[in-house]
Amino acid sequence: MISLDSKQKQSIRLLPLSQLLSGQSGKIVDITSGWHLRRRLNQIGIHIGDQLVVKRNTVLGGPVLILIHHCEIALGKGMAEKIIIHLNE
Amino acid sequence: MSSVFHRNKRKQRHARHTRKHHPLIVLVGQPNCGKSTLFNHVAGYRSISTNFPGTTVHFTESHIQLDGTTFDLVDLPGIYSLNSGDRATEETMKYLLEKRVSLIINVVDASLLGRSLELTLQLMEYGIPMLLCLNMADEAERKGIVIDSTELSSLLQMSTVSTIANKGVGIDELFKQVFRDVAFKHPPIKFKMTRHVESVVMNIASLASPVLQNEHLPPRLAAIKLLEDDPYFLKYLSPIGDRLRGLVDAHSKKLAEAHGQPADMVLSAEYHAAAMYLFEQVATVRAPIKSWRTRTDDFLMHPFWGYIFMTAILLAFFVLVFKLGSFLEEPILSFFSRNSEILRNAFSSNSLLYHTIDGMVQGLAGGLAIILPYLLPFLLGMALLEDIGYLPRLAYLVDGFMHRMGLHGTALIPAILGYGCSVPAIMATRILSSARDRFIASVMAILVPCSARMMIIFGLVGFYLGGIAAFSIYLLNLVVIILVGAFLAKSMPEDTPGMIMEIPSYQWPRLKNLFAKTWLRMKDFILFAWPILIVGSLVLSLISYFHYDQYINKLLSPITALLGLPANVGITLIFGVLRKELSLIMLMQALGTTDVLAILSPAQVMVFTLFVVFYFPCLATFGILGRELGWKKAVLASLISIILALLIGTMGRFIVPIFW
Repeated sequence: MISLDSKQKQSIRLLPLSQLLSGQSGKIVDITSGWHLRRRLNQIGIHIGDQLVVKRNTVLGGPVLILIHHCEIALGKGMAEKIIIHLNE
Repeated sequence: MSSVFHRNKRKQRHARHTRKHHPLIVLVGQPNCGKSTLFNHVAGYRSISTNFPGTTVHFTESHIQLDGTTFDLVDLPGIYSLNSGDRATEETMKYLLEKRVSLIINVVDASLLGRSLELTLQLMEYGIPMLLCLNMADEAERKGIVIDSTELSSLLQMSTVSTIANKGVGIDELFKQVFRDVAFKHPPIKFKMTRHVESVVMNIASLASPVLQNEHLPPRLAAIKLLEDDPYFLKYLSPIGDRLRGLVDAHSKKLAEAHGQPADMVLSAEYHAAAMYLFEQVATVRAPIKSWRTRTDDFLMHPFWGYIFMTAILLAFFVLVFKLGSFLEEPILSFFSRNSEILRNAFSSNSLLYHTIDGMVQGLAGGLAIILPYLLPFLLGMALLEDIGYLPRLAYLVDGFMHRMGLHGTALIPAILGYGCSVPAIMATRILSSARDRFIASVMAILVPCSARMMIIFGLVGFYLGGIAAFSIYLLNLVVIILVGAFLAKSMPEDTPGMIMEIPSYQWPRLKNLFAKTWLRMKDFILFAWPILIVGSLVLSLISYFHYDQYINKLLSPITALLGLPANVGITLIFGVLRKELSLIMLMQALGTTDVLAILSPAQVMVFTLFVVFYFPCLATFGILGRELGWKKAVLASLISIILALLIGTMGRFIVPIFW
């Protein structure tokens, strides 16, 4: 895992998935969670390095709907906070 | 299609005795890949197929005959991968390790090929001959994915067949190929991981193979599972699992150090990378075809309109079911009341024989009066919502709210089913992965007034006190369920980071599939709950014949006194345990009149109904709770409902008179 200070983070556009807006896309660069969640994400085909598009994300605390590998997946907010995305230009 | 297959109508259980003589073929695939649809197509309707990921948790077997040869076909639960984590995966792993499977049909949703190939690669490690079925070819086309199946076939060295199972396309060819491959007995190739990982895996495999001598287990598979530190697998292999684990530790650490990730992640990344590579080799992706499917979600999943549509859809659903139910219920009840008159005339009404027969007929009638008018339309409606693909979207919409309670959106589905019958509702908790979630969802589901309790609410409160009173019971019930759910979730804290749920594309429902599924769910009720209903009814009839009711009333007098109800309604509460809706008829019998208000005050009617709605699940529900969650949890869930009923009933005794 690479640790970065906040300035660097901004410049390379790293964000938790939960903060992405509908329509934004990016690449998963890290999954900062425990063994169980990471495993569940891997099971459904979500891995570090994968590209995804956010289809829907609301401010209400509901799940984030993403499109990944041609499949729509709803991810709980708590989970989305632990997935770090590198935004596409 | 049916020209080729001759369904064997023998009972499923029969398959177990004759399996030795037939090749055993299993269907394995990810949730919602159309496995069950495929199975049903050839085996007759026995497996529940839905547009909700992960509905098949138990497996279904069938005999199939093709060109004079019989084989056993088994539909295994849908699993995303072979890393243990939930019951479905563990059951599948165990099945593949223990049974002598002749061929695996790996069913793949062609529109999700990249992701699905990970499971394919993992399955290949089991060393069982395999065939790849690229299902939902039409869905792939809609998403703009074109697959070169010949190329895929040669890369994997495995037969691939394209099908559209729900339209019956390609299934003949699939099974012809299955037969060729069964005869060929060609084990799948092992996919090579990147050099370092591969050498570690092979190292461990060679260390493990002498220890594994007596197990039917490929050493390479054991090595991978040991590196993954798969808890289920280690338990499965114990005691030699511990010995092997000692061998692995050093390697596992080395692997983790070299790759900067834990070993299980390294392996997972290997499968993922290989699957993605394969996908890129064989698939061309064009722009997806815009269709009503994508546009519909702009409304149904909209952060504002989504909830408006949700309320409208659910309200319309419940009103329709209720209207249809009350319309159908009339003739059934009058038919049986005519019959019971004939019975009374035929036998002397004081004889034991009369009571025995009458009790059984009542049980039969009670079951029928629930099944036909309420359960059937309810399950049919649910099946429709499910097959279209609305349920996962519903779970998505409510997830934010449910999450604040400490649960997932998915936990709502069993609760909604609970409005039909608690038995299928508890079966439906299988879609939840954690034991804690299943327990909480089950408790919530049994508190939901099922169609039998609906009859009491409408027959008693609705009839004597009016619609608003009946509605207020539903409202109170809903509030209590939410509070109980939240309370349980808070008191059993578990680090559930939230839901991960696939939102499948909308599908046109198939009529055959709808009815088949409804029938399968009704079977849960008919085979499990109905016999209990009949026996319960018989017991009750005998209680009244031997005049045991006075003892029971005395026994229950503390409860009736607490609730401020006359002691002679005590017996009806026992009736409620055996058959919820009987409480209503028995109340009138115990009171000796159909004019309930002549004896009970409106508040007492309300308290009685509240108590009956909340307290102890009926015997059939208790049975299924025990079977699904274990008896300890079944007792705990029942205790919760009894305490709640007492609490709410007693509070109602003092609060209700203010309004009525």
